[in-house]
Amino acid sequence: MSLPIERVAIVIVVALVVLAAVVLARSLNARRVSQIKQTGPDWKSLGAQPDGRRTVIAFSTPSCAACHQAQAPAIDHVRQQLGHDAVRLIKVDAARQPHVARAFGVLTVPSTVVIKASGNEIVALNQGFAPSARLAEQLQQAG
Amino acid sequence: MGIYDVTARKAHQWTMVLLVVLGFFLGEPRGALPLALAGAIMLLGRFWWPADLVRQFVWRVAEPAGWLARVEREEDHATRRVARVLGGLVWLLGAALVLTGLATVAAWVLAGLIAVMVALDASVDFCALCFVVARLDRLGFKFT
Repeated sequence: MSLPIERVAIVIVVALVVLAAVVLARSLNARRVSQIKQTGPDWKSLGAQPDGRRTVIAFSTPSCAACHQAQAPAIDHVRQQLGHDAVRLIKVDAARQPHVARAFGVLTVPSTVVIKASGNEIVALNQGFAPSARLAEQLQQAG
Repeated sequence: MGIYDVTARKAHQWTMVLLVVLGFFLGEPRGALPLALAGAIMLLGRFWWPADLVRQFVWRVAEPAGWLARVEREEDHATRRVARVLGGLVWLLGAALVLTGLATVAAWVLAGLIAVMVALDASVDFCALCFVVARLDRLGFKFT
Protein backbone atom coordinates (compact mmCIF):
# COMPACT_ATOMS: atom_id res chain seq x y z
CA MET A 1 0.00 0.00 0.00
CA SER A 2 1.41 3.40 -0.94
CA LEU A 3 0.90 6.41 1.31
CA PRO A 4 -1.36 9.11 -0.13
CA ILE A 5 1.09 12.01 -0.54
CA GLU A 6 -1.56 14.76 -0.22
CA ARG A 7 -2.81 13.39 3.08
CA VAL A 8 0.69 12.96 4.47
CA ALA A 9 1.39 16.57 3.47
CA ILE A 10 -1.80 17.76 5.23
CA VAL A 11 -0.84 15.96 8.46
CA ILE A 12 2.70 17.39 8.33
CA VAL A 13 1.41 20.94 7.69
CA VAL A 14 -1.16 20.69 10.54
CA ALA A 15 1.52 19.33 12.90
CA LEU A 16 3.92 22.17 11.97
CA VAL A 17 1.21 24.85 12.40
CA VAL A 18 0.25 23.46 15.83
CA LEU A 19 3.92 23.27 16.86
CA ALA A 20 4.51 26.87 15.76
CA ALA A 21 1.40 28.04 17.65
CA VAL A 22 2.56 26.27 20.83
CA VAL A 23 6.07 27.75 20.60
CA LEU A 24 4.64 31.24 19.93
CA ALA A 25 2.10 31.03 22.78
CA ARG A 26 4.78 29.81 25.20
CA SER A 27 7.27 32.52 24.26
CA LEU A 28 4.60 35.27 24.48
CA ASN A 29 3.51 34.01 27.89
CA ALA A 30 7.13 33.77 29.09
CA ARG A 31 7.73 37.36 27.93
CA ARG A 32 4.58 38.57 29.69
CA VAL A 33 5.51 36.81 32.93
CA SER A 34 9.05 38.19 32.71
CA GLN A 35 7.65 41.75 32.26
CA ILE A 36 5.33 41.32 35.25
CA LYS A 37 8.21 39.96 37.34
CA GLN A 38 10.40 42.92 36.33
CA THR A 39 7.80 45.54 37.20
CA GLY A 40 7.06 43.85 40.53
CA PRO A 41 3.76 43.12 42.25
CA ASP A 42 0.89 45.52 41.58
CA TRP A 43 -0.15 46.14 45.20
CA LYS A 44 -2.41 48.99 44.13
CA SER A 45 -4.66 46.68 42.11
CA LEU A 46 -4.75 44.29 45.08
CA GLY A 47 -5.83 47.08 47.40
CA ALA A 48 -3.20 45.94 49.93
CA GLN A 49 0.30 46.82 51.10
CA PRO A 50 3.32 44.62 51.86
CA ASP A 51 3.56 43.79 55.57
CA GLY A 52 7.04 42.24 55.72
CA ARG A 53 5.83 38.66 55.27
CA ARG A 54 6.17 36.33 52.33
CA THR A 55 2.90 36.48 50.42
CA VAL A 56 0.88 34.00 48.39
CA ILE A 57 -1.85 35.42 46.19
CA ALA A 58 -4.37 32.72 45.36
CA PHE A 59 -6.58 33.34 42.33
CA SER A 60 -9.80 31.36 42.15
CA THR A 61 -13.46 31.64 41.18
CA PRO A 62 -16.50 30.45 43.16
CA SER A 63 -17.24 27.54 40.81
CA CYS A 64 -13.62 26.39 40.35
CA ALA A 65 -13.61 22.94 41.97
CA ALA A 66 -9.84 22.52 41.62
CA CYS A 67 -9.29 25.81 43.46
CA HIS A 68 -11.29 24.78 46.51
CA GLN A 69 -10.66 21.02 46.56
CA ALA A 70 -6.95 20.99 45.70
CA GLN A 71 -5.26 24.41 45.63
CA ALA A 72 -6.69 25.77 48.89
CA PRO A 73 -5.70 22.63 50.90
CA ALA A 74 -2.21 22.71 49.29
CA ILE A 75 -1.73 26.34 50.38
CA ASP A 76 -3.07 25.55 53.83
CA HIS A 77 -0.64 22.63 54.12
CA VAL A 78 2.34 24.86 53.27
CA ARG A 79 1.20 27.55 55.69
CA GLN A 80 0.95 24.92 58.43
CA GLN A 81 4.49 23.78 57.61
CA LEU A 82 6.00 27.27 57.55
CA GLY A 83 3.76 28.86 60.14
CA HIS A 84 0.48 30.62 59.47
CA ASP A 85 1.86 33.94 60.70
CA ALA A 86 4.98 33.67 58.53
CA VAL A 87 3.11 33.42 55.24
CA ARG A 88 0.47 35.91 54.24
CA LEU A 89 -2.37 34.67 52.08
CA ILE A 90 -4.38 37.00 49.86
CA LYS A 91 -7.36 35.43 48.10
CA VAL A 92 -8.56 36.94 44.84
CA ASP A 93 -11.81 36.05 43.12
CA ALA A 94 -10.75 36.35 39.47
CA ALA A 95 -14.39 36.55 38.34
CA ARG A 96 -15.14 39.55 40.56
CA GLN A 97 -11.70 41.17 40.24
CA PRO A 98 -10.57 40.49 36.66
CA HIS A 99 -8.39 43.63 36.71
CA VAL A 100 -6.24 42.04 39.45
CA ALA A 101 -5.93 38.83 37.44
CA ARG A 102 -4.85 40.88 34.42
CA ALA A 103 -2.35 42.89 36.47
CA PHE A 104 -0.63 39.64 37.53
CA GLY A 105 -0.84 37.98 34.10
CA VAL A 106 -3.14 35.25 35.37
CA LEU A 107 -4.65 33.23 32.51
CA THR A 108 -6.45 30.48 34.37
CA VAL A 109 -7.65 29.37 37.80
CA PRO A 110 -6.31 28.15 40.09
CA SER A 111 -3.23 30.37 39.84
CA THR A 112 -0.85 31.41 42.58
CA VAL A 113 1.68 34.21 42.85
CA VAL A 114 4.49 34.06 45.40
CA ILE A 115 5.93 37.41 46.53
CA LYS A 116 9.11 38.08 48.52
CA ALA A 117 8.88 39.32 52.10
CA SER A 118 10.18 42.71 50.92
CA GLY A 119 7.03 42.96 48.78
CA ASN A 120 8.83 44.23 45.72
CA GLU A 121 9.64 41.02 43.86
CA ILE A 122 7.56 38.21 42.40
CA VAL A 123 9.30 34.87 42.95
CA ALA A 124 6.87 32.73 40.96
CA LEU A 125 3.67 32.80 38.97
CA ASN A 126 2.02 29.37 38.83
CA GLN A 127 -0.63 29.06 36.12
CA GLY A 128 -2.78 26.10 37.09
CA PHE A 129 -2.59 23.92 40.18
CA ALA A 130 0.63 24.26 42.19
CA PRO A 131 1.41 21.28 44.47
CA SER A 132 2.35 22.06 48.08
CA ALA A 133 5.96 20.91 47.53
CA ARG A 134 6.45 23.44 44.74
CA LEU A 135 4.84 26.23 46.76
CA ALA A 136 7.04 25.39 49.76
CA GLU A 137 10.15 25.59 47.58
CA GLN A 138 9.06 28.93 46.12
CA LEU A 139 8.26 30.30 49.59
CA GLN A 140 11.73 29.26 50.78
CA GLN A 141 13.17 31.37 47.95
CA ALA A 142 10.87 34.23 48.99
CA GLY A 143 12.14 34.26 52.58
CA MET B 1 -8.59 16.72 41.37
CA GLY B 2 -6.65 13.64 42.32
CA ILE B 3 -3.42 11.77 41.69
CA TYR B 4 -3.32 10.21 38.23
CA ASP B 5 -0.91 8.22 36.09
CA VAL B 6 0.25 10.78 33.50
CA THR B 7 2.19 8.12 31.54
CA ALA B 8 -0.99 6.10 30.96
CA ARG B 9 -2.93 9.21 29.93
CA LYS B 10 -0.27 10.28 27.44
CA ALA B 11 0.10 6.76 26.00
CA HIS B 12 -3.68 6.58 25.57
CA GLN B 13 -3.83 10.03 23.95
CA TRP B 14 -0.94 9.45 21.51
CA THR B 15 -2.43 6.10 20.49
CA MET B 16 -5.77 7.80 19.78
CA VAL B 17 -4.04 10.47 17.68
CA LEU B 18 -2.14 7.80 15.74
CA LEU B 19 -5.38 5.89 15.07
CA VAL B 20 -7.02 9.04 13.68
CA VAL B 21 -3.97 9.79 11.51
CA LEU B 22 -3.94 6.17 10.30
CA GLY B 23 -7.63 6.46 9.43
CA PHE B 24 -6.95 9.66 7.51
CA PHE B 25 -4.14 7.98 5.55
CA LEU B 26 -6.35 4.99 4.73
CA GLY B 27 -9.03 7.30 3.31
CA GLU B 28 -12.64 6.42 2.61
CA PRO B 29 -14.21 4.07 3.51
CA ARG B 30 -11.41 2.02 5.15
CA GLY B 31 -10.31 4.90 7.37
CA ALA B 32 -13.60 4.62 9.25
CA LEU B 33 -12.31 1.55 11.09
CA PRO B 34 -9.39 3.11 13.03
CA LEU B 35 -11.46 6.26 13.57
CA ALA B 36 -14.34 4.22 14.99
CA LEU B 37 -11.91 2.22 17.13
CA ALA B 38 -10.47 5.45 18.58
CA GLY B 39 -13.98 6.79 19.20
CA ALA B 40 -15.09 3.55 20.84
CA ILE B 41 -12.05 3.40 23.14
CA MET B 42 -12.59 7.04 24.11
CA LEU B 43 -16.32 6.70 24.74
CA LEU B 44 -16.68 3.16 26.09
CA GLY B 45 -13.44 3.33 28.07
CA ARG B 46 -14.80 6.34 29.94
CA PHE B 47 -17.71 4.30 31.35
CA TRP B 48 -16.38 0.69 31.27
CA TRP B 49 -12.74 0.34 32.32
CA PRO B 50 -11.92 -2.91 30.41
CA ALA B 51 -12.59 -0.97 27.19
CA ASP B 52 -9.89 1.56 28.11
CA LEU B 53 -7.47 -0.65 26.14
CA VAL B 54 -4.35 1.50 26.06
CA ARG B 55 -4.42 2.34 29.77
CA GLN B 56 -5.00 -1.34 30.57
CA PHE B 57 -2.00 -2.25 28.42
CA VAL B 58 0.15 0.41 30.09
CA TRP B 59 -0.87 -0.65 33.61
CA ARG B 60 -0.76 -4.41 33.05
CA VAL B 61 2.15 -4.75 30.62
CA ALA B 62 4.20 -1.66 29.74
CA GLU B 63 4.77 -0.26 33.23
CA PRO B 64 5.36 -3.60 35.02
CA ALA B 65 7.81 -4.61 32.26
CA GLY B 66 9.65 -1.32 32.64
CA TRP B 67 8.99 -0.16 29.06
CA LEU B 68 7.31 2.96 30.38
CA ALA B 69 7.96 4.76 33.66
CA ARG B 70 4.93 5.59 35.77
CA VAL B 71 4.62 9.31 36.51
CA GLU B 72 1.93 10.43 38.96
CA ARG B 73 0.62 13.96 39.23
CA GLU B 74 -2.42 15.86 40.43
CA GLU B 75 -4.62 16.67 37.45
CA ASP B 76 -8.12 17.86 36.62
CA HIS B 77 -9.62 14.66 35.26
CA ALA B 78 -13.26 15.67 35.76
CA THR B 79 -13.11 18.10 32.84
CA ARG B 80 -10.89 15.73 30.85
CA ARG B 81 -13.56 13.01 31.19
CA VAL B 82 -16.15 15.34 29.67
CA ALA B 83 -13.68 16.16 26.88
CA ARG B 84 -13.13 12.44 26.36
CA VAL B 85 -16.85 11.76 25.93
CA LEU B 86 -17.23 14.68 23.50
CA GLY B 87 -14.14 13.60 21.52
CA GLY B 88 -15.32 9.99 21.37
CA LEU B 89 -18.74 11.04 20.11
CA VAL B 90 -17.24 13.26 17.40
CA TRP B 91 -14.90 10.49 16.23
CA LEU B 92 -17.72 7.93 16.12
CA LEU B 93 -19.90 10.36 14.17
CA GLY B 94 -16.93 11.07 11.89
CA ALA B 95 -16.40 7.33 11.34
CA ALA B 96 -20.06 6.96 10.34
CA LEU B 97 -19.72 9.81 7.85
CA VAL B 98 -16.47 8.42 6.42
CA LEU B 99 -18.01 4.95 6.10
CA THR B 100 -21.09 6.22 4.31
CA GLY B 101 -19.17 8.73 2.18
CA LEU B 102 -21.30 11.62 3.44
CA ALA B 103 -19.55 14.93 4.23
CA THR B 104 -16.18 13.24 4.48
CA VAL B 105 -14.26 16.54 4.42
CA ALA B 106 -16.27 17.86 7.40
CA ALA B 107 -15.78 14.51 9.15
CA TRP B 108 -11.99 14.66 8.78
CA VAL B 109 -11.83 18.34 9.75
CA LEU B 110 -13.81 17.67 12.96
CA ALA B 111 -11.85 14.51 13.72
CA GLY B 112 -8.61 16.41 13.06
CA LEU B 113 -9.58 19.25 15.42
CA ILE B 114 -10.23 16.79 18.24
CA ALA B 115 -6.96 14.99 17.42
CA VAL B 116 -5.06 18.31 17.63
CA MET B 117 -6.60 19.01 21.07
CA VAL B 118 -5.70 15.51 22.26
CA ALA B 119 -2.15 15.91 20.92
CA LEU B 120 -1.80 19.26 22.73
CA ASP B 121 -2.79 17.63 26.03
CA ALA B 122 -0.48 14.68 25.38
CA SER B 123 2.51 16.85 24.46
CA VAL B 124 2.30 20.04 26.55
CA ASP B 125 -0.46 19.12 29.08
CA PHE B 126 -2.77 21.75 27.60
CA CYS B 127 -6.34 20.61 28.26
CA ALA B 128 -8.35 22.76 25.82
CA LEU B 129 -11.71 22.15 27.51
CA CYS B 130 -10.20 22.86 30.97
CA PHE B 131 -8.89 26.17 29.56
CA VAL B 132 -12.28 27.10 28.06
CA VAL B 133 -14.08 26.16 31.31
CA ALA B 134 -11.62 28.26 33.35
CA ARG B 135 -12.05 31.25 31.03
CA LEU B 136 -15.87 30.98 31.13
CA ASP B 137 -15.66 30.55 34.89
CA ARG B 138 -13.69 33.80 35.14
CA LEU B 139 -16.35 35.51 33.02
CA GLY B 140 -18.98 34.44 35.56
CA PHE B 141 -20.49 31.35 33.92
CA LYS B 142 -21.30 28.68 36.50
CA PHE B 143 -20.63 25.00 35.92
CA THR B 144 -21.20 23.58 39.39
